[in-house]
Amino acid sequence: MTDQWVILDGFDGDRRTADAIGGTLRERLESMGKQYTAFRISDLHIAPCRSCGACGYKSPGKCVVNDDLHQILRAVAPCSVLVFLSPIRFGGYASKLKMALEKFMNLGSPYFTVTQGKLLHRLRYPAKALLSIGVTEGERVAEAETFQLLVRRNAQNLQCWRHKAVVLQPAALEAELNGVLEEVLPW
Amino acid sequence: MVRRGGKRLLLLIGSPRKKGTSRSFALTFEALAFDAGCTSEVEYAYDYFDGRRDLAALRERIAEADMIGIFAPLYYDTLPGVVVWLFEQLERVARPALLGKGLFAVGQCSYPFAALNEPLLASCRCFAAATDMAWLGGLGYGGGVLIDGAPLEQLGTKGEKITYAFQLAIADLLVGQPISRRSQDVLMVRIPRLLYWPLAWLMNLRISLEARRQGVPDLERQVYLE
Repeated sequence: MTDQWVILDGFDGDRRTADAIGGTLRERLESMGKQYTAFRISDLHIAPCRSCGACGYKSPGKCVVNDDLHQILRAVAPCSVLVFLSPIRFGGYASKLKMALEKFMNLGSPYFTVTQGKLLHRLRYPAKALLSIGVTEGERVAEAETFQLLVRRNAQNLQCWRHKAVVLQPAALEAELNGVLEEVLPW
Repeated sequence: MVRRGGKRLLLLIGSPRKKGTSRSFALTFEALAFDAGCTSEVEYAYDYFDGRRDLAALRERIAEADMIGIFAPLYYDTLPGVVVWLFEQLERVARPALLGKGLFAVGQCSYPFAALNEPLLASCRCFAAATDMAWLGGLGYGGGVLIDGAPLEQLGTKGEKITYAFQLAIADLLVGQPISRRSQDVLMVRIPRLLYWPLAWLMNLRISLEARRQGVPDLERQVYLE
């Protein structure tokens, strides 16, 4: 495993919030000498999973659709920390980021294991830490709780050695983000 | 299929597979709703994403319906991205048609743990809140992969149990009540943790045998590190 961060920016439309978060994160990583690769999902061609099953036996661990997801997974496979940035949509990720994440099932092996009392797929690549940052407008408690639950489940399936879900509001972005980064940058 | 009756249901299938378990669930739900005097219609989210169907037409169908049901597989811990996409579109173009309509959901996952569907159902509840619909609750089913799209009437006791849970849910929905906990309890299968390792071993054996049958030498190949 390399000490490499991979940032998946799932924002679409208005880029102000995404650029503020992404810019601060990249600046802090650079100041600490950490390596990172950032992907802006809206610029990429990502096809949704069609549940064809080809990544099981026909092409183990690799989707047979030729889209930009392969360059993301090539960066994600050896990385140590994964960062998802997204506007919160109905308690989850924005649709295009979600379509990309569906193919993260290829980070797992088809074989099963029992880890920390859970029946899970074995990992195909080294375990990672996960930071998920969701942005929501206003006080939407149910959305924030659903997002936190989703990130916990993602972290469980990815068998992350650390994870953190953060819900930010554009109005209080800077102060909260700095607090979060103080905590996660030493990962 | 359009059937004549009382309340009008629009059942939206969120799976790319047109012969999968979500469809099998929706068709049983449709038949039970028919028996209870309802009209129902089945639509596929992927048809709209792929441009095979027109969103304006879906908006019309929503306007005509009393209640909408989402039937979706669990993809990466929640709704498939295509269903999120459809929700984004509907929030943008169909808010007046959605306003005040009832929404319920049925999620199913491959693991035998129904509780894994919680984020999927919670996401549907958030969509209802965002569009001022009335959230009528949902059901989660664990072990959908074993059904693999088979009609529930061919599944013996398992199929009867799921059908019964749907009957209870429909009875709640038709009197305007959220789906009761009892329906979900019927669907729950509790597997003792003691059995996780034997279960994993058994499934791994099946996977290895299938790999050998298909001539695949290494299922755990690290393709993105090569």
